[in-house]
Amino acid sequence: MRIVISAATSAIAHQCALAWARMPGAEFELIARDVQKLDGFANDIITRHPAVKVHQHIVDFEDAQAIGALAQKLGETPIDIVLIAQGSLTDQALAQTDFNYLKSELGLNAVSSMLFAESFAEQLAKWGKGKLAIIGSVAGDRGRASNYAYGATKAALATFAAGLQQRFAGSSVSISIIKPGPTKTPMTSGLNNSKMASAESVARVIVAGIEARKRVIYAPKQWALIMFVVRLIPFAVFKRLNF
Amino acid sequence: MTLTAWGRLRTNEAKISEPATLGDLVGRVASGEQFLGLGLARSYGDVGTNGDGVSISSANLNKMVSFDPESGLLTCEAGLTLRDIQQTFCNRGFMLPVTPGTSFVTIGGAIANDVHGKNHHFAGTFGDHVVEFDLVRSDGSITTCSRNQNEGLFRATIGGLGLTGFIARATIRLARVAGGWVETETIAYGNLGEFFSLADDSEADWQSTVSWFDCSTRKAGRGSFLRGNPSGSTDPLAAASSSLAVPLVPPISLINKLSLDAFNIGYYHLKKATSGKARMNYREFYYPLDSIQHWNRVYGPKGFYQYQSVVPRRDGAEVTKEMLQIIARSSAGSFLGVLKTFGDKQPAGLLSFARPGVTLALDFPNRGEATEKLFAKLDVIVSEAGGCLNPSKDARMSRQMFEAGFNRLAEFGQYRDPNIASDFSRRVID
Repeated sequence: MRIVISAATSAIAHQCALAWARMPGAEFELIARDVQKLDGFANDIITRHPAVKVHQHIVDFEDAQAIGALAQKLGETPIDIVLIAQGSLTDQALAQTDFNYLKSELGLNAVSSMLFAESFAEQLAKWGKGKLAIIGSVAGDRGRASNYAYGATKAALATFAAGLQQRFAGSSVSISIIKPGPTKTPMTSGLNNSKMASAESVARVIVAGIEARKRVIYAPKQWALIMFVVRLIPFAVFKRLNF
Repeated sequence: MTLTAWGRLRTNEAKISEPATLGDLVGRVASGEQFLGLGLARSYGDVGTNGDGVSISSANLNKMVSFDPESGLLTCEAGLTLRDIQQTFCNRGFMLPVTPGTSFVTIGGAIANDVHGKNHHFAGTFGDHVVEFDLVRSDGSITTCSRNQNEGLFRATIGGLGLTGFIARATIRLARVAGGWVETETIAYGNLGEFFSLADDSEADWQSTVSWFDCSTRKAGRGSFLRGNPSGSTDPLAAASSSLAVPLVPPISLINKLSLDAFNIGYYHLKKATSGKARMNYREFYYPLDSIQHWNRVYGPKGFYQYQSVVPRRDGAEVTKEMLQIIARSSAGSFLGVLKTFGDKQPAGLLSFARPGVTLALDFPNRGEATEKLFAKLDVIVSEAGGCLNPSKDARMSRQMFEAGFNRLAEFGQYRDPNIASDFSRRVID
């Protein structure tokens, strides 16, 4: 089972990798920006699972050419799973005053993930099979005052994924959009994250969801119901809510 | 962010910082701000809390770095948990050589508290199996410490309650085992005399020994002795499933005279009925309470104390008997008392608790003054016997008692990091 993970140094992606590593025959192509950091995560997988093969790739996450070339190279042999996990929790207040910051956040959270999705979808299409999953967020389900710069990028990924799903409908290529709720990871360490779901439990749901070729994967699962309700709240009520 | 130690005696509004990488960690440790390292907050009292100040957590520093199956040497970041290590290696023929009664402990916490387990007479403490570690200090330095390199700092950090620096990563030696199973024998005993002969008789042939005893009823002193050796069985062990939890804090402690008597009598007869040999998986044997999440909540909103003493073996039987009588009379009894003998190995660290002698550990619901009075009486007995209390369990011992029990404190002082303090260090050291 050959698995490509971009932003393999993200906590959720790493926990997914550990879950896949327990399965027989797992082989990883890990992609990240920081060679030293990636080395640490790769060593963790290898130390826990000595039989697993791990290859590391460093790429600029916003270099469209480089991403395309990497996808092409990795796509020379069939890929079973692609997980696209980059993301940065945008500081909403800062994004409202510092437009350069806003621009770079939009770039990483939306553009970069789409470049990876498009590049790797092409490789899966070439072989006529494979599962591609993009990490979005429950924040993308409805814009809120407190995090719409982040939420908008995640909504864009959901729409992008929906388009890919229609494009590949009826083929053996499956596309999933993953919507984790707030998760206890380094990304949320500035928040009061002690009651959040663990990256490990979120990863279990994601790995099972990708395996089942689910189009939308809420993790933990109860977020599907919560966000269903949140989307239904009339704006007249919603505007007064503070969450 | 609220931070509560395992005893739930008080709640701190801590500023918790969770560095994502070792580089990040160095920056935060050297920021100039006073702090304390934080693992899983399983210490009972106040060695792991820093008032409303900064706690630097190892939550994100939980990666394995390397493992050599020839030597059994595992290098890992300090936030890796003992649970993770046991699960990863038990089916690969290795396990931790020493483990406390819970696996929800980080490597950093296990070293800083120089934790011990049921096999002290066989394997010593956790610190005895630490080969080296990297210590990050508030001056921004990273010092590699081992028995050959910076030995003073090495000995001060083992059992040093986190006060010498932040342990960033460590190399420990795992023990070779066939699998994750333990061959055990449970024996009911009727009084302390029987306990001590069982303990003496078991030391040569059994790697692990421990006993639970009744300290609430008139039958005080009877109990159940458990001994074990690693099994030769190589049957693979499935991952743990933790399903039970105490979902909320009850308004009052569920541990009271009535429930205790019933529990202790019931437990004694259950153990008596189940006496004999059995093969247990390591989780049942080492971590019986880990399968119930938040079990500390049963003591209610006021929390609980654990009182763990060690007294020299010479008068151990007499002293233990005296302590049990006082506890039984106080009706402030414990869920379960744990009684065990430590081996003759000298402590690995300057402030290590485990030392040759007899150790007694009891949990008491916090009943304010009544509980304090009981502890004061026990303190006198322990002090007179030349014993001491375990800092990782303590929330109330006096400065005097700490100084008397830890005679290398002055030597330890020279290795302190000036920017690190805990509620415990402010209470009994600083």
